[in-house]
Amino acid sequence: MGHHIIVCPADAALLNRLGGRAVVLRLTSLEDLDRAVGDARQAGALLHCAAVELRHPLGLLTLEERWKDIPIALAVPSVGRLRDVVGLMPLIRQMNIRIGLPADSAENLTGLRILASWGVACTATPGSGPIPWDRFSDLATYALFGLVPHGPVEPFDHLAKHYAANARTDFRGVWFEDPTRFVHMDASGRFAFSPAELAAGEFAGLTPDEVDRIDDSDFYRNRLESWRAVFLEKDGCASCPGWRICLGAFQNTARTEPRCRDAFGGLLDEIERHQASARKGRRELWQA
Amino acid sequence: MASLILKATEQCNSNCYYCDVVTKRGRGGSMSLEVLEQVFTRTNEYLENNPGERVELLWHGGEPLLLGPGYYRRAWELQQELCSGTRSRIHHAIQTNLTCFTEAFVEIFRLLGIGSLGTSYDPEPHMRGPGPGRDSDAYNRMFLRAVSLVERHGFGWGMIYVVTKRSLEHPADVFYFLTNFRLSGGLNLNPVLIYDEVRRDVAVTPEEFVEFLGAIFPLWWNHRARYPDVEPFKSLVTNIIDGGNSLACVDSGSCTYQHINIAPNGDTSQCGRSADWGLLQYGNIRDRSFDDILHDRQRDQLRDRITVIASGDCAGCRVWELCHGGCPLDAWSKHGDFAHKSEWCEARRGFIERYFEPISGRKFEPKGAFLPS
Repeated sequence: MGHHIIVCPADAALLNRLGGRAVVLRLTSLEDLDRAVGDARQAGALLHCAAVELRHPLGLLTLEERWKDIPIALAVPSVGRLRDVVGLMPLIRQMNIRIGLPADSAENLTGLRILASWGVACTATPGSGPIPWDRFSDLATYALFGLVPHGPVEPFDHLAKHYAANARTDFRGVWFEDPTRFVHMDASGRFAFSPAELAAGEFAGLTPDEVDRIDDSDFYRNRLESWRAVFLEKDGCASCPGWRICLGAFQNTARTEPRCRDAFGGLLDEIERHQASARKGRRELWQA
Repeated sequence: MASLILKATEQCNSNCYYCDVVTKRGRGGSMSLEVLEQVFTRTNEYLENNPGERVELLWHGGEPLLLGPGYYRRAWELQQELCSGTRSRIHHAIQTNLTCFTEAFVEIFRLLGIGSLGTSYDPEPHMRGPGPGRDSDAYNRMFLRAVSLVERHGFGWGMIYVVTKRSLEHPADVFYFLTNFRLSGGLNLNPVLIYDEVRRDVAVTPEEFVEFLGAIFPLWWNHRARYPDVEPFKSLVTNIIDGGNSLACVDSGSCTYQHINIAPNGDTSQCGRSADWGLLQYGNIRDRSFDDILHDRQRDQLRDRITVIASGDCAGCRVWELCHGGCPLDAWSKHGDFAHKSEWCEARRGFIERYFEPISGRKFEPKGAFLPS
């Protein structure tokens, strides 16, 4: 049995092929959550989480108490009205949930900060538009150095915990796109290392058994090494001070919107500062 | 430790724009197995005669991997046969462009005790690569493939970067590019050395080299835990701040009786450059022992040079202990004799006084070891 977590559509027929494997169920409606989780359990799959991507703001959702114990990665386009979200907070605080918002608007970056300040675990996801990098950096600073207790904000929390100077740390795992941990399955049962690669037909395997043996495949090895291609370009992401943590995650937009360079360069400094202060421990004030 | 610079082949596939080897006529030979056998015979003889000594055998070129893994296997066999009582005191190292590195080298390099590979790289397009246009893209793909293999098999690797005129446009980008490789070994920033007029377009002056280093030193200094092994910065920290003593051969003033360059035909010289220029020739290893070669009287002029320049060109220089007048071959290339300082001394001193000391806040305090008057 392979060690990869399989990100798959919540389809009973597909799940029946994944018994014994860890899965992330992809859903586009909360109404399907109970059925999907039931199907996964029925198939003997191990639920890593349900990744539910919705089109409605968080404040318009109806959450059910029976979902408290289901691990959920909830992606919504925006927070919506805060007064609506406040009404959901008692239940959200009891749930095993992370809430993702696209980082491509200043409002959402503020929304993430507010949610975190309410103790909610959050994730800044890439979105489809340009990211306001200054606000993104502010969110990182808050996530790493805010003194008032708050929920973890990804990908910053992941980097703070796992970044190591002499190893590769791919934060895209917080979006299920780390090829060492996740493979994505389409409705036809084919596998790739990201939704984009699925769409492009860059398949890592055609059966779960192939995924189990993926460590031995040249395709996998080449995929793990594909980050090196950035070093073929003299002026690309390889010459960025933040490359060590970004690993080219925004290389498609970096040419037209190079401010990610400053954002990740600064973030690397902050991660190192955060880790250094964690090593030193907290300062003890005098006592009377 | 005696250092043997083994030019096992002068063939090279890098075709670097700034390299002397590609412009020299009548070069390109490889060391025969007979000469290689002589290398190990002489090494054993030297180590038997000097029980406290060790030998570093640096495989150099040209491109030493062009010889193929079988050549290195034969070298290991010769070492086993001819150095049975001394081989524990032989340390192998290699300087390679890596592009020919394959799985087939892994085992034999492990047998030879090579745990880390020295290489070089240049992100500037068309500075190296096959063909008259120097297809750097093809070259870089081979290099990156090899680096992946090197890391997968657990070898360390370090890098020399040659600073050229083209490097001067974006020093910070160059620095980040090279350090983003996350080398397990060191990164050495060396100025390009051009001795002809044809390639003056890539030459840098000592002043330009100072400015290049000065532009990146703050980046390194502020994050030196992130970028630990960047030279010349790290050795200056060792010498100026930590009170240690760590200088490269060109600055140590002590290369005189330590190095032997061995050409493919067994001819010896002081180093690669002296061999290229026909200087400091010490004879062939078929005819002379390493002891004889290491104590050749011609070497005394390098020893005497230190005394001469300490009271001459370098008199009163406050950073003498960090430079010792620099490489004698530099002096020869400019003045036609060794009794002068290197023009790169100005770069050393300029960088220390204009960048290292002000930014680090630490002033170099000479220890008083053989100070110039």
